[in-house]
Order: sequence, then structure tokens, then C-alpha cells
Amino acid sequence: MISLKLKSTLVKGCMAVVLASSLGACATPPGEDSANVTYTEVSDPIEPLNRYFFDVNNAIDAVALKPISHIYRDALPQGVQDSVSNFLHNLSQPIYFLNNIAQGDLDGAGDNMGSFFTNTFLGIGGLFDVAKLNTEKEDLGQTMAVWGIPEGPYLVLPILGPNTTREAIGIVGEYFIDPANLVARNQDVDYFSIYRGAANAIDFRSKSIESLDEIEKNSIDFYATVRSLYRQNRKNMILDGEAEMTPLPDISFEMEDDQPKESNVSLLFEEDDSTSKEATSTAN
Amino acid sequence: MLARKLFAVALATSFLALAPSILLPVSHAYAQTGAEASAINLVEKLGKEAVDLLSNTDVSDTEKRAGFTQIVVQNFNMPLIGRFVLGKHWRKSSKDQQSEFQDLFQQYIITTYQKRIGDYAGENLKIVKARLLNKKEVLVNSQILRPKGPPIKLDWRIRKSKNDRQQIIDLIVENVSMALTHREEFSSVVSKHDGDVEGLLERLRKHVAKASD
Repeated sequence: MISLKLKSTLVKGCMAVVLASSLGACATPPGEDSANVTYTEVSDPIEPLNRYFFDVNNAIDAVALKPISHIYRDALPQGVQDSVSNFLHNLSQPIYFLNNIAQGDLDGAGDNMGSFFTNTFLGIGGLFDVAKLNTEKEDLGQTMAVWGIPEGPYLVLPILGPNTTREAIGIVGEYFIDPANLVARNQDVDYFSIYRGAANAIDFRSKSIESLDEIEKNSIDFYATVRSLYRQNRKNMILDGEAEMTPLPDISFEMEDDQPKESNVSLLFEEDDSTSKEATSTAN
Repeated sequence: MLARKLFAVALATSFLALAPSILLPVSHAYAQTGAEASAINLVEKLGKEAVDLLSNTDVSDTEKRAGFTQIVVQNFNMPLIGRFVLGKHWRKSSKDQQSEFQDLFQQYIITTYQKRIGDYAGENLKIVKARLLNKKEVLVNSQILRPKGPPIKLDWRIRKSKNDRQQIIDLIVENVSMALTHREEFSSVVSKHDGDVEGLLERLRKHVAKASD
């Protein structure tokens, strides 16, 4: 029994390493800014494959995830759904804490710790958000971004959906270091991360049924829209939503001169060097 | 988190449906310069006009659409946005293609953004502050206050055009730029047609025709 379990863990580990290293091989396209501040044009060399998995995921979504989420949303009282969200979020606080430490965001880490203990003890195991600190998701992908690792090509994973190479590696890494997973493994809870992943997916999907329908209906290329939204959202999460640092697309050059500066979209504003310097220095 | 953002983006695609009420800032103490104050005025006025139009039950749907088109054309610098959205493909297109694109893009924006008018009743727009980005541009930060859930950040990027008029050039929802999203979407469609802008125009024609049925 024990050996069987060990074996399965080993197999999983090996698969993860193989996956991570094969991804790592193509993770550094030239010319990307290492500070990860500017929004660069999308790198999507395996677009046909990505589009294929995007369609596969949408098909899975249509027959499984979306109907389940619909039932979940309509059948359960709002209070229960909120508690599920709170519980899942609380379960992730330890890994957010570790990531915030690794990113040097000690205030954020303090909030994570405060939230976790308050909600676990006063909020009955995390079912209620007593702390109300509004902690943001912090994952390994964001940590690697803060460390200056470029995002790499865009990647749509089966089941897991939109990612960049960096985030995909982050997901694999996080599986091994997430304290919640470690505890579950020590307590011999089988398939913990699968259940947790499924719960997270339903929680997410039930909140975005209309929004996603709306975006799909209104876009002429749903794949590209989702890719753009995903990447902009990631960028925003990496910068922890600091509005002052948000890289805005440089619209100015389009009208005035023919040559776009280094990248088409950057922090630079035409005619105003002080803005760009200021913004870059705050961002760094 | 992403769910909220997706909601926000969907909401932005119907930003004028923020009806019924717009919260006006009590004082303009933070708007030190004229440009900032007038940018705030622009957003306020836009909100009020939209609310007046959309909450008026006496107006027919066709009139609403016409009125909405007028509001968009007046307050948004559509030629500039259109050009930004077409990006590097702009220069490759012929004059005819460019003008057809501008026309289709405007229709696309209006149908897309008008679609869900009235769906989000109960949300309020609160203007937070305005900030000078550079000599020509101002960023107005606002929030959509919802009866349930945290507020959604909505920023308006406003630029002074050649004739010194301020017009909106981008909407930024929770730090996601709408202009950039459309740009990447359109660029992808052009690439799928081997860099031919005609393919994009065809897609837009179909989309606009279907949406206005």
C-alpha cells in the first residue's frame, strides 16, 4: 500500500519535471523586458495547437463545467456559495503567504497570515471571511515574474486553460510546495488537489457565466480576446493592481510618426520623458 | 479574482448602462488644472447624457440607437481609436479599406456596447480623481459601485485632439485596456487571413449585420 502510493507520487513527480523542463526549453524569447513592466506584444508560436486545446476546453466546458456551475449557482443559496469561495480562498492563504514573502511584499504576507488565522479560527475553518482584508491571489508564476523571469510563449493547457509558459511552470511547482497539498499528502487524503481544483473551477465558472457568454458573443475572435484579457490581467496581478504603474498602451505614436518605439505598447508617452522615467522607476 | 475581472470587462462593454444614477463628486478639489477639471466634466456629462437617454421610456429603440451613436461620436475619438486598434495593419491598407474599417469599427463598438443596456441597473458611477498623464492626456479614475461585491475600477483615458477638444480614447476596466484588447483581437483576425485586412473587414461586416438584426 505504502509502496504503491510512493510509486504514484514518484510517477507524478517525474511527469511534472519532464513537463517543466520541456517547457523551459522554449521559455525565453529574445527581446523581452526582464523587469516585466511593459506590456509586450503577444508571443504565441504554437497558436494552432493552442487554438485546438482552446476549442477542446470550450467543448468540455459546454458539456460539463458550465452546466454544473449553472446548477451550483442556481440551486445553492448565496450564503453557501460565499462560504465555499471563502473556504477555498482561505485554503490558499498559506501559499499566497509564501509567494508574498518570496516577492518581498511583507505587508501582503502579513495580511495573508492575519487572514488565515482569523478566518480559520473565528471564521469556522475559513467558511466566513471575518478578517475582510481582501487578499489577492499570489501564485508562483507571479513570484517568478517579480524575479525577472520572462513570461514566455502563450500556452493553452488542456483542462487548465489559458496560461503562459511561466505560469504553467508555476502551477507545476506550486503543486509540490503548496502547504495545503503537503498537509493533505501527510494525512493521506487521496485526490485532494483534484477535488480542490474542481471546486475552484466550479467556484470560478459559476461567477463568470454571463460575463464569458457576453464576451464570446461580442468578439469576432474569442480566442484572441481571451488571450489578451488573460495577459493583461496577469500583468495587472503581477503589479498587484497598482494603478500608477499600470502600463498603458501608447496610442500617441500611431498618429504622429511612423516608427513605433521599441515595442508597440509600453509605458512611454510621447513628448513626455519625465512621465515614462517616473513611471518606470516607481515600477522597478 | 479573474471572475470579477471578467464580469468587469463584460460590464465595460455596456458601460453606458450604468443607469440609473451617476454619483457626482461633491468637490473638484483634486482637479488642480483646467485639463483635469474639464476631463472630469466630460465623463460626468457623458454619464448624465447616457442616463437621460436610456432611462427615457418615451424614446423608441431606433431613436435610442441614434442618440447613443451621437454620444459616442461626440465623446470618443473614434478615428484615433480605430487607427490604434488596426495597429500595424493600418498602413498596409488602402484608403478605401481604411475608411470602411473606420465605419465598421464604429458600428461594431456601438452594437457591442449598446447590447446590454439596462441590464446592470443599480450600479453607480463614482468619479474618484483625475491625473495628468502628459501634455495631452488625462486619466480619470472612477469606480462602478455595485449593490453587491466590491467596486469595479473604471479609468477613462482622455486626450486633447488637434482642435483642442478633449475626447475619450480608451476605457480601462480593472487595468484591462479595451482598446488594447480590441487591437489584439483584430490583429489576430488579420493574421489568420495571411495579413490581409480584407478578411477582418469581412468578419466585421458579418458581425455587425448579425448584431443589428
